Amino acid sequence: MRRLVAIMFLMAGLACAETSWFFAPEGQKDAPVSVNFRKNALDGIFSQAKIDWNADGLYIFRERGDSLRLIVVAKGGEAVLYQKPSQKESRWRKPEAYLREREGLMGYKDFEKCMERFTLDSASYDEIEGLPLADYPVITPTKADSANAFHYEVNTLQMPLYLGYKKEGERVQYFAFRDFRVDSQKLTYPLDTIEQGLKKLDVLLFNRRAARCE
Amino acid sequence: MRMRILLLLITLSLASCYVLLPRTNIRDGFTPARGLLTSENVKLQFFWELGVVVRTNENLYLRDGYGNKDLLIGAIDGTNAKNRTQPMNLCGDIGVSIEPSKEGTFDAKCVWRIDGWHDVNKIDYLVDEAFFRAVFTKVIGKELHIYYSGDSLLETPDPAVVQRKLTPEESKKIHAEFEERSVGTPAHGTFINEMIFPLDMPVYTITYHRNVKDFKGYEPLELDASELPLEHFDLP
Repeated sequence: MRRLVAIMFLMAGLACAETSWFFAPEGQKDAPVSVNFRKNALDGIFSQAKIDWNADGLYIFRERGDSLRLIVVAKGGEAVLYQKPSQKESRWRKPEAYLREREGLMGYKDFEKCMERFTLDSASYDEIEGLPLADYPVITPTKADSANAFHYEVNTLQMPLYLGYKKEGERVQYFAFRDFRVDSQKLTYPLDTIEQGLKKLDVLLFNRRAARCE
Repeated sequence: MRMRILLLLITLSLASCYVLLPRTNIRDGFTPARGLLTSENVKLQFFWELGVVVRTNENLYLRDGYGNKDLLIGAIDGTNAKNRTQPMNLCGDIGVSIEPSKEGTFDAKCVWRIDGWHDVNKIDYLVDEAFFRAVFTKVIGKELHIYYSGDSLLETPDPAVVQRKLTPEESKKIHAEFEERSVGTPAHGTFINEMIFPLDMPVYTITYHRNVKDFKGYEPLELDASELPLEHFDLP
């Protein structure tokens, strides 16, 4: 798997020449901290639900702008969706007020409206189980010219962020990557392969929303 | 002869553009050395969970000169810009606003987005723009290290943040790393300080205070109600 990842890096590097994006790997060392921020946020909001973060399974967050959802898939296919209630404050205009508002959501009374339990059939479960999420390099789209790397042409904020971890006994594997798919962008190997994985995530998991969650 | 005069005129007019530009460029980090605005306090905050960076320049001073206020207003709301994208270049890639403070002065808020701690080039840029320092940022293990020039930032030290001076050997090493990453561009200062932040600290706050007595040629910015709100945001 490591060789495959190394090859993927190489191919991604070669693919640069054809695509207008340079996909550079992020340090996976960041992933646990990023995951913990979201974990703490939802843990507080759903404190009455008592989320078990230590059971074997897949814990995957999907974040886009203000929307944050977590899907926990236990071994066997029992799954739960947790959705962060929407907030009125703007993180851009008033980040401190936004954080205070989120603090105010701790122990959210209507948490049941923001949760959904479902079961994946065995075929779907196998597909999700089989996604090498933790083995993917962490990919972030950035401009090829590293000096101006932060001047994204495409608004990467519109690109959802997937992050989380897979737990099996003592083994915890973190992952964090942006959905780098851009409609106009034709992807070459290996990115097109990863794209298939992302499609499965959406179809099998993240097409769900907690309808009554405000 | 006529060609030479023409060439000279063209060169002069192009050169004058460069002379004029700094007057409208308030993304200079608001210092008296250049730029339309300066401020008494500068606060730079990284909200890592939100992917948001906010720079607050408190107690704004506007450079003396006829038309400077109009220049400032026009630069934010785009009314004086031939190039309408100018407001976004002033400061912040999300937006900029000038707001009244409780003390009756005016503060500027510039907002950027940031992906994460790995975006070291952007962190360098933001700290440099805010405080006018040579900056080099690096993630080492579970910490973010910011190396910088000049006098010390972090006037109200947070016990969780380590501040130290570099040894001459360490400084040389950081210079070398900086040059490697910036592809040969030299640093505009000597790296002599280091701030070490734990990665799991949700908000980093860096502050700096300037003495308004040093603001020669600047007056406190005054805006009346008709000139407010003064802001430009392109929210994602």
